[in-house]
Amino acid sequence: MRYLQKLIRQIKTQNGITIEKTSENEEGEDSQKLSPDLKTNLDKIKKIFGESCDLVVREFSFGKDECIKAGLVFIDGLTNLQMINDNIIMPLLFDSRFFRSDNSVSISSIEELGETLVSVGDLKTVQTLPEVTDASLSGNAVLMIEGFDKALDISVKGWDKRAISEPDTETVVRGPREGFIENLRTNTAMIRRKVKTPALKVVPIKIGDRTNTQVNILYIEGIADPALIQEIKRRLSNISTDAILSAGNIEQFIEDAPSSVFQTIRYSEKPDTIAGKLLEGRAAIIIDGTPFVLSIPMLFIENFQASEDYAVRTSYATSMRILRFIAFFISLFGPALYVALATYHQELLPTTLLVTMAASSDALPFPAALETGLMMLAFEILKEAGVRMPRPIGQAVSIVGALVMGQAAVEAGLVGAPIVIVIAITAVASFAIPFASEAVSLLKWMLLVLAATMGSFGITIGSLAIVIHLASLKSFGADYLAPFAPYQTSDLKDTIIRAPLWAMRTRPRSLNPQDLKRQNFNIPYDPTKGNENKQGEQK
Amino acid sequence: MKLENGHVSERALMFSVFCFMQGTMLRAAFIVAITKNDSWAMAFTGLVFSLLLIVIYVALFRRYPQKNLFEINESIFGPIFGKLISVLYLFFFLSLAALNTHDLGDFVVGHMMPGTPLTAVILLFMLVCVYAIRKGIENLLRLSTVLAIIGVGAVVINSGLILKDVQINFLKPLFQLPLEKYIQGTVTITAIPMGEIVAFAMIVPMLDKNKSAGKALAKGLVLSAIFLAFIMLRDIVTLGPLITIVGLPSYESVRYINVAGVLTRMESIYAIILISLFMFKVGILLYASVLGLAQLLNFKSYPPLIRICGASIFFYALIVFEAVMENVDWGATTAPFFSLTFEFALPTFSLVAAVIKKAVTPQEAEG
Amino acid sequence: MKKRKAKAPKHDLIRKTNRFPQFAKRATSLILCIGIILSFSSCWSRRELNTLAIVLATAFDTTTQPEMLQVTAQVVKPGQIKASSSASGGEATQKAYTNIKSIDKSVISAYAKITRMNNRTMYFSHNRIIILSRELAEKGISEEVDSFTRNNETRLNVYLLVSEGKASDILNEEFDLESIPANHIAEMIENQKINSETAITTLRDFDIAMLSDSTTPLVPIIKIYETDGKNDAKLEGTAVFKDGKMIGEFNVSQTRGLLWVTGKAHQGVETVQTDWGQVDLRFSHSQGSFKIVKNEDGSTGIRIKIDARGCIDSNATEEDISTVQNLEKLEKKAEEYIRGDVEDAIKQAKALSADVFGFGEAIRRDYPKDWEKMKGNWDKEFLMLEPEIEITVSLTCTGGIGKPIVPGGAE
Repeated sequence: MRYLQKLIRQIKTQNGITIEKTSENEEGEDSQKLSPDLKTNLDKIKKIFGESCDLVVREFSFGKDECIKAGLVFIDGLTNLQMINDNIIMPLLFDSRFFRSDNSVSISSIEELGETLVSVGDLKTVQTLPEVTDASLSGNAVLMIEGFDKALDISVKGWDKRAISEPDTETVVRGPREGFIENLRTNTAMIRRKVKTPALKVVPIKIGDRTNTQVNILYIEGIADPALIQEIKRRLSNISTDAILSAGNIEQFIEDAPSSVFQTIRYSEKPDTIAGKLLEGRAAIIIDGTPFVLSIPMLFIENFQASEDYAVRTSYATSMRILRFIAFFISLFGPALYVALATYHQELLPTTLLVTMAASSDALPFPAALETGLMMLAFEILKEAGVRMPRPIGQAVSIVGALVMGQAAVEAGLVGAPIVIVIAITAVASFAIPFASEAVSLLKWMLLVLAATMGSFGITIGSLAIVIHLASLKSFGADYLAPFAPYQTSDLKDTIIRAPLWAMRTRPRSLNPQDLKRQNFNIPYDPTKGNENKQGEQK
Repeated sequence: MKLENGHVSERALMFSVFCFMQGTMLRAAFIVAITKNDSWAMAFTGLVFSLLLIVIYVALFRRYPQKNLFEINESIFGPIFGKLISVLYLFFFLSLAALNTHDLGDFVVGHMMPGTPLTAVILLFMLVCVYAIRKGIENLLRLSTVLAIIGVGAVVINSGLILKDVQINFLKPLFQLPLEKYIQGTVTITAIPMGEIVAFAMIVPMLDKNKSAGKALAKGLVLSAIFLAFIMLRDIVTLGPLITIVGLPSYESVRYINVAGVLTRMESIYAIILISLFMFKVGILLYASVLGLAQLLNFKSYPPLIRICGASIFFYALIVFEAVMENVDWGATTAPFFSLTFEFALPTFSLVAAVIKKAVTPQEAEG
Repeated sequence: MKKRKAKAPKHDLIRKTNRFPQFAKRATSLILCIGIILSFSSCWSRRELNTLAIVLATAFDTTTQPEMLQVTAQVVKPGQIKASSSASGGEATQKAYTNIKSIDKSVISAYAKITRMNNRTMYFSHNRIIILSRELAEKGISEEVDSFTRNNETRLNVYLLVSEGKASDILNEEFDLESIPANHIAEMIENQKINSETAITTLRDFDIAMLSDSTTPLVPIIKIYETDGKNDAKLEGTAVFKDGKMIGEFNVSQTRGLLWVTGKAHQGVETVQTDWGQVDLRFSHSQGSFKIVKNEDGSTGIRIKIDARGCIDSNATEEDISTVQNLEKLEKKAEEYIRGDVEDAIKQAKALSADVFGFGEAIRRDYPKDWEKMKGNWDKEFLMLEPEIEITVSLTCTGGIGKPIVPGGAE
């Protein structure tokens, strides 16, 4: 007991330690400002970066008789050297202005230099050392001139990026195949290309004390709920941690219910998905360095929606949705139902099926529940191994899995054939709903335990608990089970069914959009009829 | 100092009433024993009387808007006597919850998994109910719409599948029983499923100010009555005279379904729906007890009491009946009087007292 | 704790204070409690598949000792079924079922006795048929009916049969088309719908009939007969019960008449002897019903209405039966045959003094006050009933060909 108390005290005090270092940065503001003396500045910068060899400090002089001394600071690898050479150094060194025969050519301010001489598109002035280091770490070059206490932060970013390719996690049959890459600006550009309206706002914020990761919040003004954006900004600005290395990090810091198995923030790798969500009234968070973009808020049915659904036709899209729901139920309840039926409720099986199952379980050593648990475990290990394996060995793993787990185990009489089939179908079904599979793979186990001990009563109780949990989840103010739990008929058109596109006149009400109307067709819409379809006068 | 800050919409309230009563409907043996093959008509006569009950409740709500039942009691009778009356109501809610839980436990142990001790079943069930109320009664009420749709859908599908085995002749002879049986049947239906909506008197304050509680309750009752009549009709035409000897008419009639040798054993769906509906009902009753207890003890918030009430219902449910026969006996003889005291007598008494009080002290703006 | 107040907490999102250790403590205790409870419960009511003896048919016989009952349960052997199906159904050296016998005072005690001899529990949910021997039926079967209806495991749609001879013999017969006799018999019963010569009774129908004051339940009779040295089972006739005891039987044509009256004869074949020869008729959609009518003198009468619709199935004569006049003649002949069957059935019912048709129930439903008066005396009242029979036969088609295949028929 005392040990437990000590442990708890330790955990409490640990929380007090980490904040101290941030206060360091706030003291001594004055020493951070740039001084007019070039050498001092350069020395300070060299000291900050210390041993790092990729910092390049290029000192040069230009002007008549080399009167003006300048120093260029940048980090090799982050910048486009061509641009530095051509657009910063060359104009400064060779500009005719400085070779006129008349006397004093002086620069009145460094802004003038920036305005007239440096031929780069994006530049601004900085005054403090932290800004200089930030700028150079972002891939900009900083130009300091002797005699001025400001510096020019010139954007010459250029590094190696992955080419835009089809994302691995979300493949589609019919629809755009672009996927986000790790570069923030390219990602925002991809979305801008889809939504060409100035109402699309890109709000910057920097998170992470050591990583200083750039994060952008995207939303469409006029559609998104201002309260939502406010809340997102508040939660993001409250994160004060060391490192943000992936979208998941941010997701776990701002989500509503961290202890729940269901995710309340959706991620996506495709710009058209995110664009679609922005247009419904959601907000997106893009993080530099990861191709996964978060979309807020998330509703439960989004687990079953794929961007492809809107690209294919109504009947097929509806059948695919229904199929995904069925797959969800199979993957969640499959093993548990099998155990409950085989152990407690044999009267629910048709006679011939029961006889077959009894035949296969005649000679088996383990009870049905244990068998199912073992097979599920084996499959989970197989799945994890398949992901971590380097590709050449992947083939062997799948062969081992199929042959050993399936065939040989059944023939050796260790497990029954029906169990292997059930587990296989469950596993395949869980791949049909990629977003919900994390939650499902955990809940499966809970339901299996309940089924093994209390039969179908246990399964019912377990699923009631899950439903209640879902009903009480909120994602940034939107009810998770909308439009089922607060029942909204108008939102049901995009859940289990996918209503025809011309029928989706309003945005989902559960997201509280500012502008409800999407389009204005008469229902039903027949393209062959003339202009009577549009209600009122449309431009 | 409001204990509950949630909101519920009118539609959610209506469907909550519906779900609340559906559970009891599926175990309608007590009514069938009295009026046999005319039981379906009792649903409608019972509805008429229940509407009368609603009139009483609404009159009370109108006088004391935004107050739940226990607060109304305190307002009318003053702190001490009001608390006494509230204790009576609390006892009623707890008893109802225990009775229903025991009912469900009996069903599970008797028909789904014989051999399991009642304790485990009730324990697991109460755990879920406590969890549901912990997460907030609002969420439970919001689920009522979907639950109602699923329940109705399941019953309709089951009824459709059994159509080929029905014999309409079982409905005859119509209305041949002595009148006292019909009166007894009406009273039983009013008391047992329909009157229990007095528990909603604790939830009504969550409705927004300009919505009418009476309309929502009445609509819910009408829906339930129609559905109850439908279920009884289906049972009567399927089972005929067997309905009076079988313990669970709806269960047996669903068990008989056999379509093409493939679609059999539909009673599993019935069982799942029943468990869900009972969880809903016991959840609401648990909430009513918890809120009431918090009111009585002047607590500022009610969550700490949820587990206590849940545990007391658990133990109460275990001891409430010793044998199934006692349950049937109770339902046939004592239950109507027990329920009607709290559903009819006490509210009427409160209303009369309120009227008198208002007449005697007209200058007080609030009661 | 003083330290904490000076600094801002690490993740100030929704939670203002750090309650994780408290949460962890509670969660652990909850999981432990649930785990303990659930692990105790693993010994209740669970039945592994390999501990079940799935009973597909049960048979009841009398024994030499008067109060004792012999119970035979046909249990399927799952392993053998698999072997026989994978061995292309040919060389099933072992039977896929086994019959377990037990003798004791009542149904339940006999089954309880089986557990002393068997390593598996009897599982009745898939029981499809119950066969009672004729001797037992004549002694009274109310005990068997009650125990099967009361039990939760058994279902109300089991078929009942009465066997001529010992019931357990029927379960011992081997049939060619099915490996398990129970399946064969059950499917045979379900097949009878095409023929309309057997009354199909499930336990539920039997219960409903037994609960009535007037109706007497019916159960089909199954017999074993020999052809070419092999035994086969056949459904022939119907047993009539009263007060739980078998009091008599109906033969095949009487059963058919009975089915016509109660409206259960939907399809069937009738062979009609005409002046020209033999013609076979097949009825496809037939309906029969009876109604209670009040006569002028206030007494109740029954009006039976039968509407048979059929086709000509085969023509063994040389006459062209597709002409309208011949069709009418055939219809009249068919009507006579049906009337004969119906009257035969009514006569036999009166001889047995058993209201197999359900006339009493109909009177109770439509004229409850009259029923109150007739109730006590129903046996005599039943004998005095003279139902009016109204039969309409319509032959609507003649199959694929019209004229007969005889020399000169093509003209």
